[in-house]
Amino acid sequence: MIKLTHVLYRIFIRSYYRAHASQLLIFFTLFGMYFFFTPVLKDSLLSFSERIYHNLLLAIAIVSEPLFALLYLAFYLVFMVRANRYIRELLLVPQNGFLFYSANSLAKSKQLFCCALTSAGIALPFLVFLAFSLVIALINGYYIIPLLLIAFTVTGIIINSAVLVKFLNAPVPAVSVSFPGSYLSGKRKPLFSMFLLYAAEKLPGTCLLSKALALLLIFFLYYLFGADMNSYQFNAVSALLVTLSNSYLLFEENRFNTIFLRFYRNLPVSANRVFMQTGLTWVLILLPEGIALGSRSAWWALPCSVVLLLFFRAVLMSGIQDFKRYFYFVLLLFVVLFLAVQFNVFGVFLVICIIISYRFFLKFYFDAA
Amino acid sequence: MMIEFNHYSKYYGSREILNIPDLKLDRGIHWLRGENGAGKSTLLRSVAGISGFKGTVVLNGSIDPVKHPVEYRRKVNYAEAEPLFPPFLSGNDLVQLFSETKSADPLRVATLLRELDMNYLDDPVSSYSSGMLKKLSLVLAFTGRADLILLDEPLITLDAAATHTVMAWIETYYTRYNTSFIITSHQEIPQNLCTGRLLIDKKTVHIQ
Repeated sequence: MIKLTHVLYRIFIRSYYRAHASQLLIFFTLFGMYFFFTPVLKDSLLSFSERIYHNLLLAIAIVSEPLFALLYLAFYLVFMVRANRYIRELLLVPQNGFLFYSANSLAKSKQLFCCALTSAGIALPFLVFLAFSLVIALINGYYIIPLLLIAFTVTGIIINSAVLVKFLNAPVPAVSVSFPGSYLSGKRKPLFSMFLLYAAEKLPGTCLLSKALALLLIFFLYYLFGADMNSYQFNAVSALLVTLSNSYLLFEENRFNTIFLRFYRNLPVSANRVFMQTGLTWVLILLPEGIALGSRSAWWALPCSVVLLLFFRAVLMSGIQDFKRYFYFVLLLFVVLFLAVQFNVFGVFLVICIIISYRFFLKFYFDAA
Repeated sequence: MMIEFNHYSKYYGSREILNIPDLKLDRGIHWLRGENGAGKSTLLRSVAGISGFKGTVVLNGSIDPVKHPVEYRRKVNYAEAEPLFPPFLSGNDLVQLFSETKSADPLRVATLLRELDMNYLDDPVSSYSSGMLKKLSLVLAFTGRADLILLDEPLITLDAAATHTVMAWIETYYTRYNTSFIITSHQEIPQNLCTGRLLIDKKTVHIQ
């Protein structure tokens, strides 16, 4: 049983925190900051106990106000549903398939216990907040809502675990025909459409987030700084923001090509043609941003973004394979290109980028490890 | 001379995997053997043009994968040991893609599909078993007019009937279409099919 818990910890908890590190960090840092310490303006006018009370206002609200408690539980519910979905998807990955014929040899009660520990491990940030709230509730004399919070949290973990145990003991589900597979069966699928189809099936969330972030940044840029910028600056900075917003999607595109389109490098298709098709893929991916920018007369931003993304991609192909190094590279390049905009040499940089990306592509396309 | 290696070397990072100073292979069916991790798949990936290397590999005396990438890939086909294709593509999508790019004879492709009894090609590859996927990758490797076909562990996960069919294909393609083969396999290749034996030992290829 301990071994199974250890295996589940290695497979699910660690990978969950790794995969969601940035989202969890942003969410829980923001939430946690106000949860443990809500700043109070002019706190010199308050007594020490009043100040502490105001500092812990959010935590006290959660254990005393039904509406806040409900909000907290709604967050918890969404978190647990998503975590459950993540675990089930990970269970279906071929290398984790062994769990379907090993973990379910244990008694159901033991499986449930191991899965509960796994669920609790994933829900750990919520458990920490809950523990802190309970201490505050006891000090301030609130009992009913805290009891309900505990009951709901524990029930959530138990239900989550029960769903996982049921899933683990059922026959492995047959692979369903995917959205692109069902609607485009028999249709010709050119190279430029491959990643679009893959993203529609496997990365809809990432795509939506990238698009939403890019459109939000364009919106803020236009309304906050649009009046102070000339057309050249607006086009260039928009291109940079669109590139930055889509940089994770680019990382995924490169990974997809490396893994699933490896066979394509044995086909008699010239690297020039593949390069053009890759450019076309990115033109299509950036269409929503292109339309938004076009409506603000920033027609050059879209081709500039495509050039920058092709440059980032060429660098990825040259050997940067892990996301952390790539992320630092993107940030560094963003700063350099932003300075280039300030010094009116962005155009020169773009020409250099397109030359390098083309040369790198030709050099590394057939040279992947 | 079918294929020639000159000062060939392959590194993963700073670790040298293979070093073949000079090797010439004549037309034939070459059985490439070696321990696990010896570099058999790495060598095949290099020869297929999928993975880079140092030195030169020349096909038919003049066709170089770097200088003539398209022509080289039209003449060299490859089936991976553990094939991976985009999960949403169907077997038909891949057969059509390979037929078009490798200029295959449609009748010959239809014969290959019929002989392996592949009646599941409308389904996406994500729904295939490992044996079904292996059959598909073998059909794709025999699609077109290749001078050299590289088969990495072609017999694993195949059933007895399919194994027999693939052996027959190798013999037919060699005798009728002059196609050469480099085959890695931990299973015995029948004596009558094997014209040359190669062994990877101490990071280099030895002719036995």
